[in-house]
Amino acid sequence: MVLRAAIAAAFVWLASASLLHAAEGLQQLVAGAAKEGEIVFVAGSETFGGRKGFADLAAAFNKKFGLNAKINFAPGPEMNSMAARVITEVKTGRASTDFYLGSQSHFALLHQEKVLENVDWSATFPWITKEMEVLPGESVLVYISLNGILYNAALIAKDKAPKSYADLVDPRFSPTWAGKMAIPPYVQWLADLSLLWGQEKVRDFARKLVPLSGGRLRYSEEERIISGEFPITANMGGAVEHMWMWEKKGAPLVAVTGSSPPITSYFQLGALKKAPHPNLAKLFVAFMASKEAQGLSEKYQGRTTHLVEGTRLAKYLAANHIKLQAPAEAMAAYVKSEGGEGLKFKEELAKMMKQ
Amino acid sequence: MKPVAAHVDGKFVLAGIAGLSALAILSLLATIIWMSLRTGVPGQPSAYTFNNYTALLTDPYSLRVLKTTLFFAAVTIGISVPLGFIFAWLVERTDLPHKALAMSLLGIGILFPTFLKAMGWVFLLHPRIGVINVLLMRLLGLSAAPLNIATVAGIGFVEGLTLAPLAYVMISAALRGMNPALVEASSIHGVSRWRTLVRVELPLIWPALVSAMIWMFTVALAAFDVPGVIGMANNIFTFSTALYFMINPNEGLPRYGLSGAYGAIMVVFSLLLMLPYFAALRQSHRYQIISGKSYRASLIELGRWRAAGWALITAYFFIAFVLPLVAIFWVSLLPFVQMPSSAALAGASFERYGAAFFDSTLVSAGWNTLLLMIAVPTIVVAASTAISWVVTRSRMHGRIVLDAVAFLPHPVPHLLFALAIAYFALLISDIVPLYGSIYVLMAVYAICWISFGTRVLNNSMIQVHRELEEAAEVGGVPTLRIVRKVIMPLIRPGLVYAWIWTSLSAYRELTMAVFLASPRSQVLSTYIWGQWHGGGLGDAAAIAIVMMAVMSPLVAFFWIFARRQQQVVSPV
Repeated sequence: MVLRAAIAAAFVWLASASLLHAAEGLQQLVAGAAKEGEIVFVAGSETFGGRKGFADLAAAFNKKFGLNAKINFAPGPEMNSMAARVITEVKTGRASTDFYLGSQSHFALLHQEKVLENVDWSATFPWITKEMEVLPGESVLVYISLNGILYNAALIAKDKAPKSYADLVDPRFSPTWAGKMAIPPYVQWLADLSLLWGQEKVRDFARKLVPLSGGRLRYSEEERIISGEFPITANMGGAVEHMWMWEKKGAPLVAVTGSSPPITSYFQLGALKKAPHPNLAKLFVAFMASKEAQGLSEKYQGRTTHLVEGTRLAKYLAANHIKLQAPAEAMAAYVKSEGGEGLKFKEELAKMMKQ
Repeated sequence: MKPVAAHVDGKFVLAGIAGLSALAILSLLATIIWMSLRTGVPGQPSAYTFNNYTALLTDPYSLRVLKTTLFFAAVTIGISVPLGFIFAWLVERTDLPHKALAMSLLGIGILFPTFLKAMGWVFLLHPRIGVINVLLMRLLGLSAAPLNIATVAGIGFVEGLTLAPLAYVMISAALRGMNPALVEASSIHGVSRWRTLVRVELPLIWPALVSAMIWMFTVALAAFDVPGVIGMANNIFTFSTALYFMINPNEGLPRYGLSGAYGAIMVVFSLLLMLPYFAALRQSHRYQIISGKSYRASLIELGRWRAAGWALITAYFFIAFVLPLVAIFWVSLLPFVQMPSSAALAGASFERYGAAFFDSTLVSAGWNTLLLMIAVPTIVVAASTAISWVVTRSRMHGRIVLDAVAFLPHPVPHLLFALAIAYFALLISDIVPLYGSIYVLMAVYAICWISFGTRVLNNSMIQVHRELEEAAEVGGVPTLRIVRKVIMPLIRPGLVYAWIWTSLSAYRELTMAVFLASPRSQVLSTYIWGQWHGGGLGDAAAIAIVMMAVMSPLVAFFWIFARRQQQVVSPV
């Protein structure tokens, strides 16, 4: 009995000690952040709702931590280019952005190049769970996106629209978009698809897909589908969220998750080594996983993580009985696929896409 | 004793500035070659290798990019030079009325950034969303779009249209300096106007046409704006956009070594092109005459063709400038890109403009642009004055070499200098944190436009008689004072002309800026590019319109001022 009480007391002591330690760590970060005054974040122009979204995020961030920091959001290159840029910058001097936003492929590269700051996120910030640490100690999940086909319903009738990735290259349907379809300039979605289909089937798919394409669209360029410049894109990261966002404005955008389970991108934030404002960077990364920030992310870009209770995505997944892989597991599988065979396969796909 | 020391110091200062400028140019070119022989990211250990050249020359993609670039350049030349010739002929050789207005309409095109016009063309002539195409399809009952801007020819067409005024400036200078006696003789012998044009005038200005073609070729080779805005999404890559993706890849790390190999090959290619360029220039000088002001060939009377001449200039102004602007404006009002219709009009608003005015990043980009518009021309004029003084006024050894080095940035695509300075700034970023700062942009702009500054100032200084300077020297006036008090007042029109044109170039530059700008050094052009490239078409359009509206009075003032100076300074 005494032993049990002693063990329980020890647990309570340990828990309160770790809470106290976390609180101290947080306080130190806030004190350091107050001296830094401003933070710089470079990402795609529409990230977290672009300029408008960042105005509200800045207000909520300052309120949460009792700060008066200026958030400098600068529209910059998209995630892949930005990853390449921060690696070069951190290795040669100083990062031009305080933290980085990207998905598995980008963070695998950043992890490999050792440019991410190590932070015990879940121990320091009470609202961050272990599960949210996609790369433990390095990155925090801020939203997930379900990849899929995106098409303009005003230009492609529902009965002629594809229901899956395989339909895109099916000669019964493909004449509708042959020569007009956009494809992403990335190969990662095909590498992800190979985990479901196998490499040979993906090779065959890519061989048929490329000649049907009329251009390349990156994952932030859905407005070019709405405008009709391209009536359809073979894959768009965050297709479902894009559809939700544009529905509000009356745009005829329809998303189809091309595979089951859907290809999922786990978007993470990570503080960078040699960041000009390291304390603010850590606070902002953690803040983006909070309920307040998730609410604003949902409002401005329709994107959230299913790991924060009550988000639209959590409800959507539950309602549609969609089960996703644990983010850290997906990330580990990704990092594993980056070596040897996986890398060769991606290079082969990249060559095909250049045609 | 004191005046002599000051005299020596002055020469030393001017030679020092000139030497430093030349050293900067040569260092950046050497950096490109050095980059091409290394692998990995800057600052990491790397063995010297020719692997980058092997990879480049064995990749079929490189060949495709080369073919695309050559075709794009050919179309650019095919549009810009004939148009430039027609405009120059109308203004210089005919009795077209209201020539000042015609020259202004043609000049406005040069002043506004090309990439903004390219954005407009996407909304006008894209096969699926181009307003003109949709209208033509409805009117003619066509099932497919008759025109397509999203092709190599389409991109060349837009580039050619925007470069036509530049071709006009180059060719009109040749027409003005042409020997009128030969034209008069042809006329006296009863040769028709048409035959005179084809048999006499065209051969006389042929060298100028060739040099204009080579100039347009080098511009097209390095152009990023139109291929970037229209080509990238449509899987069309030219030399500059391919290079952009080597430094900003979709996947993996930047390939500085490979881009260096690309650059090194382009440097050699560009320098080789200069041989026919100089040959053409030498030929053109043979046909020029020195005459009294009154000795000009009589102007060709257009008669009823006057209206046709004006219709052509108006149509050009409308197509190349007004239409793309209207298209951008329309898109800026909409929540998403739509064809003009009553439904779309109902959803139009100025919401994006409101947001743009309160955008602190945009304001800071505006300030950075203004800073460059003031600092860059000042540096260029100062460095060019020093170089031109050494080249034209001194008897220093190696002044011919200095002149050649100062001219080097002209034929070499400017984006290579941007690439080299980015690499260099990254290498020294631990010691001097210049990378990503506005000073890097300032430095590369200044280095690249020294070639322009020295061409203008060489011409101006050569006209100042040496006696004035010698008299001051005999009187013991120090060199710097002579330059400041004697030479500079005499070449003031040239200085002002060079300053204004460099300032306007800093305002519209995208190619170099896109490789170098960081959050700290955003300028208006890169900010708009970032919006466009990131998929924010409407925001990019709204900011473009704001940029034009805010800068228009300044640009108009510069234009009027530059035109006054141009009457005194011969164009480059």
